[in-house]
Amino acid sequence: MDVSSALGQLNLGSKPWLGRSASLERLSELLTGRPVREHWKYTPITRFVDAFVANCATIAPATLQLEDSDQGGVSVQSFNELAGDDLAAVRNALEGLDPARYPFAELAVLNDAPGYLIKVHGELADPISLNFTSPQQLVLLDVSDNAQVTLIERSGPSAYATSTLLRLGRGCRVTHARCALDAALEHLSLLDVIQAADSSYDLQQYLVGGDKRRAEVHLVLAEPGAHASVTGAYLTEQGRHLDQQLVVEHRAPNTRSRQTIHGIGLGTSKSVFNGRIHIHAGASGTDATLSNKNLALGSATEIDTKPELEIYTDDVKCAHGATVGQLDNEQIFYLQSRGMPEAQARALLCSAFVRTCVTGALAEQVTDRLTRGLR
Amino acid sequence: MSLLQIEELVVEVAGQRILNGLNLALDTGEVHAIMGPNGSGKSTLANVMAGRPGYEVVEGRIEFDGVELADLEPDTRAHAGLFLAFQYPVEIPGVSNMEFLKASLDNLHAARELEAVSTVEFMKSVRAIAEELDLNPEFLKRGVNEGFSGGEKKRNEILQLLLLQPRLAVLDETDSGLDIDALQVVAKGVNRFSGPDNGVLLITHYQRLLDHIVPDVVHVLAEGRIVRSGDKDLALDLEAKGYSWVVA
Repeated sequence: MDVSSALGQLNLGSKPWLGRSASLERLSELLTGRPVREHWKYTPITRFVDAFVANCATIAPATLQLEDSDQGGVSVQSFNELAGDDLAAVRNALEGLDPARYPFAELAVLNDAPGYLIKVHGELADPISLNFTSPQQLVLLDVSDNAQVTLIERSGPSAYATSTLLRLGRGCRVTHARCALDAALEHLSLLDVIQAADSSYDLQQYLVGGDKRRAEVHLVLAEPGAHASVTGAYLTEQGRHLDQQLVVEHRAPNTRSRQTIHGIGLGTSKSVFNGRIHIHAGASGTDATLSNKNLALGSATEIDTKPELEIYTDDVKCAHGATVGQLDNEQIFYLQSRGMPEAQARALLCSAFVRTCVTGALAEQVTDRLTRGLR
Repeated sequence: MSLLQIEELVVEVAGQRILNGLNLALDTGEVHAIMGPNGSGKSTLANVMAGRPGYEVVEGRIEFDGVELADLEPDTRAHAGLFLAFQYPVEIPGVSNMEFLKASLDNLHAARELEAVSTVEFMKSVRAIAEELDLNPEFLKRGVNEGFSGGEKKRNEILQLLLLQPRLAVLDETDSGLDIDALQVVAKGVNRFSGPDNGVLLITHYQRLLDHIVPDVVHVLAEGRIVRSGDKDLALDLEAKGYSWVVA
């Protein structure tokens, strides 16, 4: 089925508040436009559209599980309850997304997927947990100036299309641990973050491959002094597919980003990693690095990794690197010579390889899951 | 029966013959030293004993405690009681020394059907050995050999020797790259290990190690075979005269 006819099966409600003439026709045009866009090269969008349509029938009412949200400094409202500035904030956030690249957030809104605006003020002592259990869901998290919060986001096996939009105020500090450790059938997730001046954002992201899983991360360092770091690890097991697209945009002077992501592919799995650093004109003093290292452990494992730089300013420091390799035979032999069976030596080396990128609130859960997968 | 019995051993590496009819017998309670010029096959002997991939036994046998080694995996050789102190110990970032040592000990104990060692006992013995070898106990938290100096790496090998208590220790040029203080520490460790129930095979370029670890037998390895054996005085002769007088 082609995209247009698939979308034609949707019976979507109209959302007059969503100003940008959200319409199926327009989205359908964007998605079927030629040439096929580079970022859908390894994971054709048609597959997701079919699954999206199939999932629309099963959409559940509000099932966002929010733990620890009753502490002071946090307010949660459904999109349906919004008015005035709050509604405008949601509209702005959605309109800011490139519809050709991230079409599913808008589609989910048209489809009446549960959406929530969460506002955070001050320094929160306890983390906020977001558990995505419904097939389609959106969250806009608005963190006010100088606030401090830790977010823990988990996507369960029934999550299909989830969008997490973060707007970080000046000087705020946000740690965001997020994982999708069940090998879901199709899963699309979008994380879109815009940072104001001197804000600090620390993302820890852990994924396993699914039947088709795509994880999009788009970070914008919009104002001077903003700092972002991304630490991530992933495991793509036999027959699984994982496509990660990371974009970091430096739009203002003296912004800094660090990305370190390690992945392991097993058997006939396929992992795609595309990491783009985009330094806009005028963003002088930018300091950006990206490192993606992979182990391809099966004879037919496919790993497509591509770091990209787009730089429009002279005065920047920028480094990127990507590797695909195998375990070091010297290390295996050394461990074996001390009595460790080869399988155990390999598993230990693999877990060491990803462990350097496993940190924070989800570390234990992630380590367990990855170790299990590597056994 | 000897602890180690090597007969007419022929070994090839990448199709090139390195050992060519080597014979050697070592009994428990003995310390043997193997000396020889560069390229004579000393490290090949150590590696083929430990089972390093790429070292192929073409002819002959290596019998350890009555068991033919050639077909065994490197870990099975370790279970049987063989230990190789590496000439160039590899760095393994991300695996802590503590985790590595405990896993090694657990595997050996399981294979030898010995009672498992509790973490507390393990920590106690590792700390005691580390102190003896002038290794800062902080090294336990670091990655295996990660960022270690040459001397620290060699001391870590000796620490493993003392912790894992093999039946035969093969030391492949453990003295190379060590300053005099480190050399003495390493020698002290080897001497403490050495006893009536185990054996030591020291592979070295220099006589100076043998000032500290006195061998029962010294062998000269040249062109892939043992060309001369003698007592510790042979090492002194070699130091004074070089190899040319024994290597025809």
